[in-house]
Formats: sequence, structure tokens, C-alpha cells
Amino acid sequence: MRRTAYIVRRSPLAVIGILLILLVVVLAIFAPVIAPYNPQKINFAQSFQSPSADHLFGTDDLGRDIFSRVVYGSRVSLKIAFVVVSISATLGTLLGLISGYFGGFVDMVIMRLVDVFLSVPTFVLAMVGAAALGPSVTNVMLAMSIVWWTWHARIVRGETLKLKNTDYMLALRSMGARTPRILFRHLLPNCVGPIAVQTTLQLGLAVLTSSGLSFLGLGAQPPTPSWGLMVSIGRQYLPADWWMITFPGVMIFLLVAGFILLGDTIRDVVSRDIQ
Amino acid sequence: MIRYVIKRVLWIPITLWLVATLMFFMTHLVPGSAVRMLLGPHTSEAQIEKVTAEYGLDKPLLTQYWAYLGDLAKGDFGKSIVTRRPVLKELVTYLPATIELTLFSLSLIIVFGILLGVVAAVHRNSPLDVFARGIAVGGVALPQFWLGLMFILVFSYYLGWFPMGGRLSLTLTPPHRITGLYVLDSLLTGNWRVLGNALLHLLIPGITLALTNLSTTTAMVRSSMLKTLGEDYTLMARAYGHSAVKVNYVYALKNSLISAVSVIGLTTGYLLGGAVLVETVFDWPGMGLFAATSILHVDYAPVIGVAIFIAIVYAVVNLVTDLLYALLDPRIRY
Repeated sequence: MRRTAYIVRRSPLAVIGILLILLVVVLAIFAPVIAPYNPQKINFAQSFQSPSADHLFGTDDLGRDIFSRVVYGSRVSLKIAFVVVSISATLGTLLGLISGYFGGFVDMVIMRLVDVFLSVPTFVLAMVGAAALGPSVTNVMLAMSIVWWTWHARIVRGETLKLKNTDYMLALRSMGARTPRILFRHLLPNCVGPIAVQTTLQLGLAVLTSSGLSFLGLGAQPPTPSWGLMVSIGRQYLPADWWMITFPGVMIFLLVAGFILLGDTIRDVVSRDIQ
Repeated sequence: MIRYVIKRVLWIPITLWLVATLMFFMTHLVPGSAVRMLLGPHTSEAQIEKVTAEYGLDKPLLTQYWAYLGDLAKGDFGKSIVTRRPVLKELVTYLPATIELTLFSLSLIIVFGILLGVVAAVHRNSPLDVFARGIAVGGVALPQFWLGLMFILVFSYYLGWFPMGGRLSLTLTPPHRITGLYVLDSLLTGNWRVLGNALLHLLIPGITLALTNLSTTTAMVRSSMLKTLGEDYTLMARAYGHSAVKVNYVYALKNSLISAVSVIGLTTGYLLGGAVLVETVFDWPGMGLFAATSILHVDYAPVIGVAIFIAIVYAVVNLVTDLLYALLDPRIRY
């Protein structure tokens, strides 16, 4: 772990990634301080203003300051990403461990379930889920969690299978270690590497997917400032009012790029370890 | 080998059945959601009760489930509330547009993904490598809907080089329908004007979809090439005197392509998913746009239909690529 952190610190791309992520996290935490205006404050007199000293990113169709909305939008994106990935990582890891360790019927059932969920492209499945449950942030998180645990399950199962028949495991069992202990204190720490890679990358994908769903109208509903939703609204006012879609989109890109850069570097380290 | 093929082919209907089941339970999870699906959200209690009885929605879940499966087997995906036409009919109408866009993007991804991957591997750790990987990684991080809108802004509005959306200019009539793919049909009928116009309309949406899905292919080709280049036989080929170009781009590439095939199925899945967003942005009349507008009109039956359709296409593509992979690599035999 420490070695990973050391290598990551030294890699310029990863550092850029971490900085980008931190930037957005800071925006989210200190939103009330950083945002100059109330993101919900409607002011028709000020609508459709292009970027200026007064309004850094301009104003939207209702006169709301876009910079403030972008800053507050970071909260929505980060919240969705962290909740979804926490749930899917926990659920997926648990099911992966059980599936890999116990094998047999349980393994078959879980893996068939994984296959079913993976037989529909994830965005489409999340779209159906969100549509069926009704458009809201909670339902988007639910729909995405239901779909994404499968990645973790597969990876953890793979790692578990690799370790299951080693002498290491045999020794543990002959010492009388009980199953939960084996699972959590011994197998799980060995899976941390791939789980970390998958989690980081998934955080990025979660932001991307959730903003895509918001763009379609399935996520946060107006007046909540969600980046995807802002692009969707601003789309009607192209090409004149280009700033309404440009800045939210750039933010999505920066945050996702941050997670991916970090995740790729962790992956390089982990695969080097495996070799 | 044959047994493997048969097993895989038999598995498709089972997977589709399970997918349909998944869809059914997702939409029937929330009480009243099925009715909401049929009527839209703004219905009164009395209406909900009436429709519930009429459509047998108050029957036990299992009964509804059997009816649902029976309908699907007959090809009845329900009716769209907005257009009042059977969903299946709509899907068939919109399918060619999505296929055309997906195929075009897939070709771009194959060509450029392999190119970038090979270049990155051959010039490992050089600026060229970083550049190639940068494009791939950058592509993934760009939101597809936003990139499309940016492209439209720059290339259609400000520069005027490309049309702003749609498959064909409104002044032209679509070519005689052979496959439903405008580019192919106009090529086959020698309709050059329509061909040029259709290509012009296809280019930017295709590039948008392709750019955002390059990274998987590039990464796979790169890592596969790196492995091949590290093998002894590559070194031996060089020792024999074959030029670097020949060894890298011909011999090593051929062996690395095999792994690239396995990624194509996965990429197609992402393309089909991303098509929903790109079609919406470019007004491309495909299944994705159909699904997106249905969502806006709270018309959920088409959304399910599209999802199942995409699952079918995805399953078939994965089967083909898996078989291709087994065929190409003599080491894999089942």
C-alpha cells in the first residue's frame, strides 16, 4: 500500500489526477464560501448574460449565476459517485468472495446473475432502471448500484479463485481458522489492489454515467444544479448562449479525467506487482 | 469446438429470458409503476384503478409475468403511448439508423484504436506513447453528449462545414431502401449526391461516438503488442534481418489483433449505450433517440423494448467475437 502511494506520488499523471479530484472536492465542501451567488436565485433581469467579471461563467435562462451552479453541482456529482461506488464495491466484493470461496452452486448462481447484468450495456440498464423507478437522484444511485456490483464481483472472484488452493489457505484451515476470518482477514487484503483500481475508475465512470442520465432527464430534477441537467437545459439556447453548456461539461471532463488518470496509475502499479 | 458453439448459441435465449425477467421486475418493483408506465404520471386514482383492472395488473405477479413473457415471445413489446404504434414496429423502423452509426463508429475505433495502440507500444514511453494514450484516456473522460454539442457548435455553427444534425438534408430523399443504411444503399444504387450528403451527416456523430470509446481498444492493442514484442520469436525475426517496420507492423500486429477481437464485443456494448446520448444530440433518428424521447414523454414501454433489442444485438455480437477469437487463436480450442 505504502509502495503504491509512493509510486503514485511520483507519477506526474497521477498527481494531476489527484489534484483535479481534490479541486472538485474542495468546490463541493466549500461551495457556500466559494460560490458568489445563490445557485437557485432567479433573476430575469440578468438572464442570458455572457461571462463577465460579475458572472464568471455567465448566467442561464432564469438569470441564475452559472459559476455558482457549477460549484454546487459538484456536490451532486460527487455524492452520486461515492454512494454508488461504495454500495457496488461492498456488495460486489462480498458476493465475489462468497462466490469464489464456496464455489459450486452458489458460485454458479452468482456468476449467472453477473452474466445477466452484463448482457445489457450498463448505460442502457441504468437508463431502464432509472426510468422505471422514476427520475430522481436516489433512483439513479439505486439503478447504477444494481448494475455495477458485477464488475467487483467478477474481479474479486478471480482473485479468490487464484488464492483458494494455495498452501497459504491450507495452512490457515489446518490451524482452525474459521471461514469468515479467512474471507475477511486473509483473502480480502489480497484483493485490495484490483479493487482499488476498479473503484477509482468506477468513480469516474459514475460521474460520466450519472451526468448522461441527468442529460436525458432521469437524474436530478430542476432546480437542483446538476452538471448533466445544466447541459441539457443550455442546449436549447445554442449557439448564442454557448457558456451555458461549455462550463458544466468541462467540469465533468476534469473530474472524470482526474479519476481515470489516478486509476490508470494504480492499475499500472498493481499489474507490475502481479508480474 | 462444435459443442462450444452449440452451448453458446443455446445460452442466448436463456440470457434474453433472464434479461426480460430483470426488466419485468425492475418495472414492477414500485407499486403502480406499471400503470404509470402505461398512462404516464398524471393520472387520477380512479383512472389507475380502471386501467389496473382492465390490464389485469391486479392479478398476482406471476400471472402477469407469464403474460408478459407470452407477449414478448409473440413479439409484442407493448404499444408506445406517444405514437400509439406497436413498439416492435417502431424499433424496426429506427434500427438501421443506429446500426449505421454504430458500424461507422466501430470501424473508426478499429482503425484508429489499433493504430494508436501499435504506435504506443512500438514507441513505448516516448512522447508518442503518451500522446496516443492521452487521446484514448481523454476520449473516455469527455462526456459524449457534451462533446457532440461542442462539435456542433464549432464545426456546424461557427465553421459551417458540417450539417447540424439528422441523417440527410431535408431537401434530399433517402435512397432506395435495401439495407436501411443510407451510405450503403446510396452506394449500391449509384446515388452519389445522397452518398456524399449522408457521409457528411454521419461523420461528426460517428467521430463523437468513436472518440469516447477508443480507450479500451487502444489499451488492449497496446498491452497485447507489448507482450508480443517481448516474445523471443519477435527478437528472432529481427535477428534474421527483417526490418523493424515489418516485424512490428506486420508480424507482431497480426498476433496482437487476436486479443483486440475480444474487445470488440465489449466496445459494441458501450457504443450501443452511448448511441442513446449521441443520437439525442445529433437528432439522429435511431433507437437511442427513440428511447430518449420516450423517457421524456414518460412512455416506458419503448425504453424496455430498446433495452431488450440492444441486449439481443449485444449477445449476438459477443457470440460472434468469441467464436472469431477461438477461430483465430489456434491455442484456444474447446
